[in-house]
Formats: sequence, C-alpha cells, structure tokens
Amino acid sequence: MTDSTEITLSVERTLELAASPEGVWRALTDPAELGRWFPDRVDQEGDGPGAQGSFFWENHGAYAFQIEVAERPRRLVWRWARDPETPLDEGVTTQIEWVLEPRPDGGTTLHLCESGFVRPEDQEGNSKGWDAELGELVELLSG
Amino acid sequence: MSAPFQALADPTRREILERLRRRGPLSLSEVAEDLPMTRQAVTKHLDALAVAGLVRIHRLGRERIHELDPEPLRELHRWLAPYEAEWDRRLDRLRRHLDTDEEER
Repeated sequence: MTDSTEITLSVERTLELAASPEGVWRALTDPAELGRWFPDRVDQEGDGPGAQGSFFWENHGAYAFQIEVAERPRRLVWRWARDPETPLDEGVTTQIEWVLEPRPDGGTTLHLCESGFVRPEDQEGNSKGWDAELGELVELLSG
Repeated sequence: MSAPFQALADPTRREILERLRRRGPLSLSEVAEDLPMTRQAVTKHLDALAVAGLVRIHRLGRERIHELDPEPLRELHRWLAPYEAEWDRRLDRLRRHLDTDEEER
C-alpha cells in the first residue's frame, strides 16, 4: 500500500436534548431554523439528498455544502467545504454526520461527528482520505 | 509536524501503533506476529515510525525493543482543538435555540 499524505481526523460530540427528534431534525434541516443557530444564513436549492447550497457567515463568507444523506428523523449527513467561496469538488471538504436517537423521556440524544480534517500543508494531490481509527486513538491518549 | 501525519497514513503502521499501545513495549518478533509481511518490511515500518517520533527503539541485549511515544499524537489532538471548541460553541447555540423553541409552544 502506498502512502497517502491525507489523513482523517474527527470531532465527535454527544448531546442530551429535551426536544423531540422531530424538533431537533427541523433545527438541523429547516434553512430558517438552521440560520438561527449555525450560520448567519442558509442558501439552499432543493431538499433531501443531493440538495446543495451554502452556509453564510457575515465575517467568514459562504461555505458550500451538500446534503448526502437525509433519513428523517434519524440520520443526516452533510459534506461541506473547508474554505469559503470554494466549490465542493475543488477544495478540501469534511463530512458532518448527525445521528438522532429518541430517548424514553421524549427527548433526543444527538451525536455529531465531523470527519475528514486535512492539514493543508500535508495535502499533495487529491488522493482519497482514509478512514482511520485515529480519532479513537488520539482520544484514548489524550484522556 | 507533517512527519507523524505521513507515518500514520499507512494502515500497517497504525496497526503496529495499536499493538504497542495495547501491549506495551514489544520486540520485533512480537510486533511482526501475524502481520502478512516479512520481518524486514516490519522493520522498515518501525523505522518510519521512529523517524516520525511515534516509536522509540531501545536495545536490550541483541533485541530491539519498540515503545510507543504518544507525544506527536498529542500534537495532532492539539491541532484539532480549535475545531472542537467551535463545535462546542455551535452546539451550545443549538441547545439554546431548541430551548427557546420549546418555550414558544
């Protein structure tokens, strides 16, 4: 196997929320709701898998994204650009996966995983990133 | 700092690190156990890991003992920290947004 200079790192978080999975789903997928807590504005064409758009922040610019998976109200995957004003197929992208689990009390356990981080200085060519257990390893070691 | 990234990009080397993490310092034959390659190839991987600062090699008589050095991994973790902080901030906002939403109903 040849060396790849890209590497996958991930950020993972789990949240316990009082809101129902449907409520959380709306906060993640409705452009108007999303614009109230995530970017300053969401511009989106269409809906569901394949839909594209951008997340806009006043002080950062517009970041292209695409909905990869939308299984209401359980799992949502976006791919988005690491750099502003850069088409998805031209720059580095990361994947954001949301998993919603209903809780017995009517609330939601929300898992977030953003993966695919690449250090720009390590990026040569556009070889595919590998799926690593590295995040796990780093987590264990940083404990 | 790009040396650890390159060293970790190879699945065999990640497997070797995982062995050293789980079992502690190991000799070459212990590292190479069940790996589908020659001991020579394993030695090359271990040397690459040593160059990247992820493995320290000690001599014990005629044996080379290999030990994991997690310091470069901590650096990777530190590099990721700003992104984690950013997500913590965003998720706080999500939680507050959902709380407000709930009160409005």
